[in-house]
Parts: sequence; structure tokens; C-alpha cells
Amino acid sequence: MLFVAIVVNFTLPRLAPGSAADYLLPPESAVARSAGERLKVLRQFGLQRSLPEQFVRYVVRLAHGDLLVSVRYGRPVRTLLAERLPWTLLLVGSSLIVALLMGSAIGFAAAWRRGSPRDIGSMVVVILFDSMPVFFVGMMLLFFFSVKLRWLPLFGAVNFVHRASGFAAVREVLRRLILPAGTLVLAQIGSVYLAARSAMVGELREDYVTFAVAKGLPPRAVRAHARRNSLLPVVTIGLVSLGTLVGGATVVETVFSYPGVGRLVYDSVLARDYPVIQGAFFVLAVTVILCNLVADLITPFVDRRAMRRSES
Amino acid sequence: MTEPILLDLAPGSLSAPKPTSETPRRDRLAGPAKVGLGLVGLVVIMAAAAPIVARSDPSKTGIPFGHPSRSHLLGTDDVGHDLWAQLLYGARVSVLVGFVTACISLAIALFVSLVAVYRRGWFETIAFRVVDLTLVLPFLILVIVVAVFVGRSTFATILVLSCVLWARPARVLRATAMRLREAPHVMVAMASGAPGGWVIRRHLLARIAPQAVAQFVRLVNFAVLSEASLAFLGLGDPGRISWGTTLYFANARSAFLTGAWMWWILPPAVGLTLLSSGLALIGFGVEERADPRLRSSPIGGQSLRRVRSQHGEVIARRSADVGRRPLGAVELSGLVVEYGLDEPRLRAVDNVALTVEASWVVGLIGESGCGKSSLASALMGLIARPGRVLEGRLVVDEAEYDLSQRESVATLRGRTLGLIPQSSMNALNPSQRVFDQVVEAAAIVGSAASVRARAHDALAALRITTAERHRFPHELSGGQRQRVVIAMAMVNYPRLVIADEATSGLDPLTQIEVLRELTQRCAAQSSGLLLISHDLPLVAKVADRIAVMYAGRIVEEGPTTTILNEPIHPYTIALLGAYPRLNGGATAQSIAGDVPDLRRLPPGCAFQPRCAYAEARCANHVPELVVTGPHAVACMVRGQP
Repeated sequence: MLFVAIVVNFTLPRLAPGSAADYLLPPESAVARSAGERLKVLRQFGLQRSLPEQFVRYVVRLAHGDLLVSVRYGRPVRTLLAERLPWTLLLVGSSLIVALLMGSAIGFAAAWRRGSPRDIGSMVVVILFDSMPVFFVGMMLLFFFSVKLRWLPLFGAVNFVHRASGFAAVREVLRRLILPAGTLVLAQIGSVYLAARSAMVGELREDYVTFAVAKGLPPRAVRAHARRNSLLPVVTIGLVSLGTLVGGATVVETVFSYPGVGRLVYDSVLARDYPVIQGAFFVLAVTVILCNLVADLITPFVDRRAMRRSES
Repeated sequence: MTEPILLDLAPGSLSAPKPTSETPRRDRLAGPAKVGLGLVGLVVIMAAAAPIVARSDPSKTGIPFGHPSRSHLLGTDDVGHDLWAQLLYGARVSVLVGFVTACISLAIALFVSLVAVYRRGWFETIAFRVVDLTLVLPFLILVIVVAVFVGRSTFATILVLSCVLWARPARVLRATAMRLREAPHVMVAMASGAPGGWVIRRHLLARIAPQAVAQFVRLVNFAVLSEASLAFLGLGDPGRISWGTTLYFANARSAFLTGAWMWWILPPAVGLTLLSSGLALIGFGVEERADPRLRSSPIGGQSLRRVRSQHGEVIARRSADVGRRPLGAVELSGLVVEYGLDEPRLRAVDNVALTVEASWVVGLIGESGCGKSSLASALMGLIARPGRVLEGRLVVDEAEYDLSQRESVATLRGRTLGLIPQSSMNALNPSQRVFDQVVEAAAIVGSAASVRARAHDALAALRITTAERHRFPHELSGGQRQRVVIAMAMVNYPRLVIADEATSGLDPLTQIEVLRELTQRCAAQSSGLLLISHDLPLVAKVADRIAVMYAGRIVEEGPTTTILNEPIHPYTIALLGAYPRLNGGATAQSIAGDVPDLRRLPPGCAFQPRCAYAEARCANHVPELVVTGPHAVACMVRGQP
């Protein structure tokens, strides 16, 4: 998997039309440079060598954690990403957890009251939110809470003007996290809700649930039985959708000027800062792949049935 | 799926109770799907009619921040673009990208999944490695990276999205195709050497089509939203106006800080939302149709009212009483169960009465579909809608319960009545240790202090060792699981235990063993036992009395020896003749004819078309159950003394 991510990263710029130098130099200056200078740049990045040779060098450099230098900032991409990644992880992590908790709670309740007005009502609301473009949700939240009501700050993750410390700093960070994370939660809650609802509907059909009713258990206990076994597909969906969430974070960070990797990607797209885009993709892909790996490893411990399946 | 499946709860299932309303869900969903079609249709018409309705060129600049007026219906943006025209032309990009991308991705997905399922081998391995990978990678970032290098044009957007979007439908379609591939009729076709293309066309494609339609709708939705996101990030086609690019400019030029946002941001955003939710609504409608399982309904909340119990003291008294004072019988009378919403309804149980004295074992025998499992479900209040209990009375210790009232039955479950369902594997929660499940069953009555002790006693009585008690269901054998389920059903000293095909999943030796233990436990606790089965010889080994059921009615009932040696009803005689005997010379005879369709029962005696003793009057009158001493028979010809 990792390998393919590397190959994608390596191949794409080389397949793109035009000379690699066009991509490696800032757009304003690329035209102006002479042929000699272009060749110098190609040398500098080792682009005059054969493709396999370039590939090997590329992989070796990656292994050393070298992700080239940003054209726009003139700083190593690695440093740039190291600064930005924690913010994205904070944003994505917190919204994933909230979306999982809220989405599954509403979804389970809807499955239990399947077909009731409340179920259909929640379904309509969820579909509506799920259908709104992430950036629109973000823009509306920003407009109402920051522009109109002035409850929450407009942008950023920390206050640069009045640097706080200690507890106040944490509070400030949380305050600035609410809107971007809220947007991502709204964007993600739909798929969690649907997964939770359909998993629970499926479990409620199982014989052990009927038997739990026959045992004379109160509804609350019957629900708990079904819920427990519905949880796994929900968590799986949550982790699998991590990739989508990271994409959503790009949009959200753009709307809220949040200093994460997504905003960096956006700025780099505008500035045609290709090394940064590639580096960001690589780091995000690795993160997401690792998360999925962890999910695969812990699944058997969460779900007894999965363990049985792997045994037999 | 037709109703008789609901009736015959036999292999592998307890009845799956009730949806919460009389209206079937599909009728409710038709509405939303129509709304969805309307929304999508509206956007498509907008896109198609753009040149006619727009009135002006969307890229022509004019007076900035113009308010809505006759010439500019939605006003103008900061450089004077007509926003109404932008809205209409923007719809074109969404529709174009959405549908073209969906077509391409679906074509790839169909091809890959079908070929993979039919050919397997290296193609499948490689294709689905790629699918897994594509699904895991951060989608939007991947699209951005590809888009950056491919360039900015509508064509590039379609290309990029198609490359990434085909993966999910491919996986879903393969899963469906795999299930179909393993379906008997497809395996038969392939085993008999049908050419691959033919198998795909004839069997797979037809069944996959509804799934593919659902996936197509999803793809359009995904493509529309992704295009908007890309355009919003400045990666759209600079030569075309789309909803995404309009919003990109609005955001980049801080539309919120001006008064123009109402005309600038809302219309395209609402357009996207409506288009996308319309697609989602259609998608649900199509999926529901593609997967009939989504239509039938599981357990629902309303029917399971909380039951307050005064049973605790009863338990204490009962366990002290055991063996000292004879307990009263559990008497069922006038039970009627019907299925279906439309006429003719299916009457699964018709006016059935049964009495089970304390410590008695009563066998209830009948073919699949005769209504014996419906009887068990009705007693437990587990009849699923569209089925319902029309009438029925249960008398226990002079207390009377109306079986047609769910609330009244709910108080009996697990306390007065214990159920042992057919498939023990499925009756236990797979992710909970069995001991905890027994404790849970015990905890509904009695004091908290005694709960664990009672659970241990119940399990010990069924020879489940302490170590086994703390295992998960899948770590126990079939026989052990069945004994756990028995322990669970008996932990609260029920007056009547209902065993519905309780041993049919086990091997013959274990069957007898478990059955013996079950009857011993019931005797020890003075519980009555209703043994529901199609296996007459097995039941005859342990039952005191046997009731024979046919087409929803009891046709003969009496002491086991009488039923075995002097059967009167022709059906009982035929049933006894259908079992091979090791000692006798006669070979087993199957009963001629079919189990009757309960929707269209013949007038008169239901067994008459298959009956060897039938006379003319049998076709006209329904025979009454006539009681003679301990024996009851419902036959006009042979039943008269």
C-alpha cells in the first residue's frame, strides 16, 4: 500500500505535460530562466538520470525522511508538515470521535423506532446535512457564529495577537476548534448514522435479540444486546472514512483558515508549490494507512465473531 | 417473498417480530423517492434550459453588487456577473460531471467486478488490491494531487473523479455477484458447462442490475459534491462557471462581509444541497427495492413495554413449593393467529386449545407450515406484523391473560413462560459470555443477591462446568449451547417451558440426551413442557401426551400410548406410517398430496383432499374436535364412537 502511494507520488509529476523544471520552479520565474539554468535545476534534483535510477534515489530519500524543499516558503517540506500535522490530527481526531458518538447514538435510536415519525424525521435531517457541501456548512457556521453573533473567532487555531499561556491557551485552542470540528462532524455524521442504523436494524433481526425478548428482558436490555454487536461495523466505517475526513479537513481548514495540512495543500495548489502537495499527500496517505492497519489489528479483539472466523 | 415463509419459522429462525405500524415501509418510501426524482428533475431542467431562461451571458461583467432586479434576478457579484445566469449555467457543469463520471465509473466497476467474480485468479487479486488501496487513500487529497498534474478542465475533472470513484461500487457489486455466484442455480449453470458470458448475462447481470442502479445514483451524488469541492479549492475549469467556482470566488472575496451573500452564496449552495439530497432519496428508494430484506421489519420499540414484576416473591415460593403441592395447569384456549394485510388472510392458528398440567410433557406434532411455531410465538407475544393474534386466552393459576394484548403477554415472558428456540447458536449473543447471559435472564425477577447463585444452579443442573460458564458461545459445542439455552429458559422456574424444535440442529445422540435432560429439569421444577416438533418418534420417547396439528388446527390429542397404538384421525395414521420402523416389515409411506395453502383452504375438512377415508360430507363440513375421555379427535368419518 505504502509502495503504491510512493509510486503515485513519483509517477504523476513525470507524466504531467511540460518539463519537470516547470513544476519545480516558482511559476513566475520559470519562464524567465534560461535553458542553462533549467538544466542546473534538473541536475540539482537529479532529473537528468534514467527513470529507474530516479525512482531508487527517490525512495532512498523518502526513507531518510527527505521530502524536498518548498518552492514557496523555501523551507524543507518536512518541517512545514511537522508544524501543520498536529493541527490536522487534532481537528480530524476530535471530529471523528464526536461524529462516531453522536451518529451512532442517533442511528441506533432510529433503528429501534424504525418506521416511526421520529425515525423518518431524523433520516430527513441527516440526509439534508449529508447532502450539503462541506464548505457550505462551514461558511454558514462561520457566518452565523462569527460574523453575525460574534461568539467565536473568525479564523486560525491560536490567537496571535494576545498569546495566552497555560489553561487560557488550551481554552483558546478549543474555542477555535469548535467551528471547524463542528463542520466536519456535520459532514461525517450522516455516514456514521446510516451505518449505525442499518447495522442495528440487521442485528435486531437476529435470533438472539428475539430470544432476549423471550427471556423477558426489558427493552433497554434488549437494545443493549443489539447495540453491542452493531458497534463494530460503525467503528469500521468510521476508520475507513478517515480518508474522506482528511479530504474534508482540507476544505474546512480552507474555509476557517485553520493552520493544518489541508490549508497548506490549498495554499500550495494556488502557489503551484508541487513539492509541498506531494509531501502532504504522502504524509496523509501514510497516516491514514497506518490507522487502517491498526483498525484491522484490533478488530478481532472487539468482535468475537470476527475472531472465530479467522480461527476457522 | 410471500407470507408462508413468515408462517414457517422453522429452519434457523425464531419469528422476527413486528414493524411498528400497519403500513408497510415500501409505501412510505415511495414518497421520498418521488420527491428525490422531482428535485433532480428540477436541476436537470435548469441545466437544459439555461440558455433560454438565463437572459444574459453569465461571464459578462456589469455593475458590481447589483441588487436583485428585473434584469438581474439574483443581482450581481463583486465584478458584476449576473448571478441568476451563473446559477443556471453552473447547474450544467454539475449535471454533466455528475452523470458522465457516474457512467464511466459504473462501467469500469461493472466490468471489473463481473470479470473478477467469473474468472477469479490474478485479475481478481490485482484489481481488488487496487480497489482496497483506492478506498483507503484520502480521497479528496488524491484527487487534488491528480488534478494538479492533469490540469484544470471539465474533462480533466471527469477523468480524475472516474479514476478514483469506481472503486467503491466495484467492491459492492463484487460482493453481490459473489453471493449470486454461490447461489445454487448459478452453480448448477456453471457446473453444467454453460459458457461464462451466458452465465453473466443470464444470471448475474439481471440480479445485479438493481444494485448497479443504486450505485449509479450514489456515484452521481459523489461526483457532484466532489466537483464542487474541487472547484471550491480552485481546481475547477477556469473556462466554465460551476456552482463550486461561484462559491470559490464568493469565499475568496469574502462575500460574507458584504451584503451580497444572500444572492451569491445561498443559491448555488442550496442548488447543490437539493440536487444531492434528491439523489440520496432516490438512492434509498432504489436500494430498498434491490434488497428486499430492508423491507421486512425487525423488532420495534413500541411493542416492548417495560414490565414491572411482582414475580420475585412468587419464585421464592415456587422453589420452596416444588414437590410439595401440585400446581395448577397452564391452559390455552381459543387461540387464533393470522398473517397478511390483504384478503384472503392466512390463518396460521385456528381456534386452538391446549392444557399442560404441571410436570407434564405435551408433544405438539405437525409438518412444516402447520402453525405450530406460530403457536409458540403467539404464547410468547412474538408474532411479527403483518401477523397478529386475533384471540387467545391463557389461564395460569386462576389468572387470565389476553394473548391479543401485547402488554399482557409481556409480563409472562421469562417469568411464567420460558422459550427454548430452535437454533441455540443464534439464540445466544455471540459477544457475551454465556454466564452473563444467564445472569441477565435471572435478574428480571428476585433479589439481586440471589441472581448469580440461581444462574450457577441452573447451569450446574444442566452439567455446564464452571469453566464452560465463562466462555463465549462459539467456544461451546452445539449440545452445550443448547443446554445453556435451556438453563436460561428455566432459571426463573417458569410454569410452562415451550421448546420449539429445540433439538433439531443436533446429531441424533445429542438430541436424545438433551431432550432427556430437558424433561428431567422440567419434572424437577414442576414445570409443564410443550415440546413442538415434526419428529413424532423422538417426541413419543418423552411425551406424556401428544397433540397433532394440521393446517392450523389440532386434529387429534391424547395420551402418547393411545396416539401411537390406537390413532383415530387419518392424518395421525398417515403420519405414523411415514416413519420407518426398524422392527416392523412395513416400509415408510409418504403422505400423498401437498401441505395445503392456508390462504385457500378447501371448504370442510382441511385434510380431506389427501385423506384415504374421505367421504362426500368431509368436503362440506369442518369437523369439530370431539372429546372422548382422555382422547380428542376431529374427524367425522372415524372420530364418531
